Amino acid sequence: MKITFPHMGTIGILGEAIFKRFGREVILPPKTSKRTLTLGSRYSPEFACLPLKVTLGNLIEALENGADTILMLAASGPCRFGYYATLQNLILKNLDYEYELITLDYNMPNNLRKLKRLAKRKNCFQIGEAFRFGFLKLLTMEKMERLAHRIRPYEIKKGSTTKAYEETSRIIRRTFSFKKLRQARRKATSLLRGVSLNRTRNPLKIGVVGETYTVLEPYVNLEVERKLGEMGCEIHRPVWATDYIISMLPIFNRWGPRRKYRKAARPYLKQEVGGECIVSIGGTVLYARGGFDGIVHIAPFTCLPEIVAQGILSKVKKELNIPILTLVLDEHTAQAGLVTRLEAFVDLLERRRNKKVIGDR
Amino acid sequence: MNIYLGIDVGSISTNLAVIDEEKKVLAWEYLLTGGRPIEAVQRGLKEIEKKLPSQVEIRGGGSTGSARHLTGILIGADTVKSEIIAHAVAASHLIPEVKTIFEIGGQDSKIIIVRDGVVVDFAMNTICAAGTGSFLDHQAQRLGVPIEEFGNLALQSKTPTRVAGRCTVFAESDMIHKQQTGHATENIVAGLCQALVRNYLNNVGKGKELLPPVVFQGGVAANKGMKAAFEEELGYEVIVPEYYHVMGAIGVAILAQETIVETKKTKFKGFEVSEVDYKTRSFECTGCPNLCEVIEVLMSGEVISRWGDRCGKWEVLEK
Repeated sequence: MKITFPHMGTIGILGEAIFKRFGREVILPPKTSKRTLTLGSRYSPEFACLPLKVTLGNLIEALENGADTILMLAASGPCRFGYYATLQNLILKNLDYEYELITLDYNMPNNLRKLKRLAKRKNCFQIGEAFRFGFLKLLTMEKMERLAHRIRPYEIKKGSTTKAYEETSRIIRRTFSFKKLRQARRKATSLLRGVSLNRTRNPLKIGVVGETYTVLEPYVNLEVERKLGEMGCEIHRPVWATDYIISMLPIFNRWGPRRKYRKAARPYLKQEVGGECIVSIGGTVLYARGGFDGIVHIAPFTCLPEIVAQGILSKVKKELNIPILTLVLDEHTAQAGLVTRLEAFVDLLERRRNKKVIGDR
Repeated sequence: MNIYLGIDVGSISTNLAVIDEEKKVLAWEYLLTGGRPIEAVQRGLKEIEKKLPSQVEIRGGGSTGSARHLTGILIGADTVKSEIIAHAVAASHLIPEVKTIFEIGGQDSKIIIVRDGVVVDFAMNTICAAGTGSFLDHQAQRLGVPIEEFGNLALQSKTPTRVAGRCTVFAESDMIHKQQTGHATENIVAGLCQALVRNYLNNVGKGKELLPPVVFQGGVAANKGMKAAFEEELGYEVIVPEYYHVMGAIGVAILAQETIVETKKTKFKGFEVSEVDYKTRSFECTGCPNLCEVIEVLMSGEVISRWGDRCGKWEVLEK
């Protein structure tokens, strides 16, 4: 049994850690690339959203590399994502791939039965430890990402933060025990702290909100966070893979990390309408109150929850007086158009902050 | 005399403008890019140099437009800014009380919202070309009307025909049907202007507060039919500035002046760059499955810049 699952930012770390501890072989898809996108969009319905196409490409590439078991999340929510497993299963079967599909959904007893089978003969304690380790590893990785977001605008040599972050990612990915993880974390932190910085700068603070997949997957969003960082902006975002997973569990659904965003969004939207709509709105409200300079809102083309969010955000923008740039991503998005918009947006924020009236000297 | 140079290299046209310390426009140049930005810039530099008085010193230069990065390297620009800021700066300089800027160029269109001299919001056309100059150009060709006469012809119409403007394909089929049922050309032309205005306001201007004074600039502003259609739709006057077609270049020249106040010294290489042999070439990097197309700029056979790679390994030149 060789397990695989699609990429979504760094989330692969979690699954890999858990199943390796179960004693299973994991074949992660190769890093998402142009080939992944080409394969995925060749076999997907034309009007499907971008994440479906890219994750399908991931699965095809993993199957080519010898994976024989696909693990997917499914069920009724949060948006069309609930149907991905079903649709991708149909497409892959039509392409004559041989594999077993295992889906996890909201039926917890059923999920536990499936996991128990995947866990070979591990006892409940060992299973719990595997989950704890996987989660901790993912959390460590996210801590590093957060740190990279904070230091990138101060870096003296352009690209040095990204280089250091990639090295920390390699170090953390290699570890498969609690002890090693602690060591890796220390090493990784010192590596990022070692990037030479110019602390006299005063970076713009930008909140990046939007649909989970496009926010988390740098290939798909054309590395928007890195680009903004290198233009001198400090990035904050409400969307994290760990939060996403916690919110999937029934007990935390109500009280978990989404709660503060739901509360902040209340004057504009009183209930969940699928996807991360409410997080995008709540996040924007919280960032605006926190004195941020601007918001970048990311969504894949045809994403309904984010279209709703876009409509509501235009009101938030007016009432809380915060500039918002919405970026709609699809497979044809060329770098140049995106860069022009980002550059103009950053210029706008800078001139706005410095109250620089045009023509003033 | 101290002067500042601004160059706006767009997909259709390349514009140059020279301003003095008082931000007065001394000379401008408008030529077609023709898909060869380097040549267009060099040609433009040669032309504009001829128009300048002999005793001038270039204190600074800036570049904007979709080829701004390439141009910036070519001329040694002091500032490289996006079109949006450049257009806003130029419009606010010429019409200080401006609140809304419409800019329609050959391949793209944008709207810029300015309040109290500060850019507060902007949008660019994202999905289609139905709101740009090339749409008008294409339809003018179909009707056999020279694009220069398009605007005047539209003004002659008393009963403009309604043409679907959401998509060039719809517009074209709609137009053919109207032609075949005997509508006069001037009515169709006026209808096209209205369709484009509707499309622009619905797509690009979506959700924006359009307050007068409105400044209308970019190549399409030459079309009087468009100006009239905008005024009819909005219900107030739309200002087309004197230098409507080279506003981006003027804006970035002003920005270059701003930059020089801080940096004091210009990086501008001088008009001699029009004589230097610049070439670009590209190759496909096979380092990973992304197969990025990397562009190299060569000055007299030596690589001076590279871009196009996602990972950044080619961008940094070993010195």
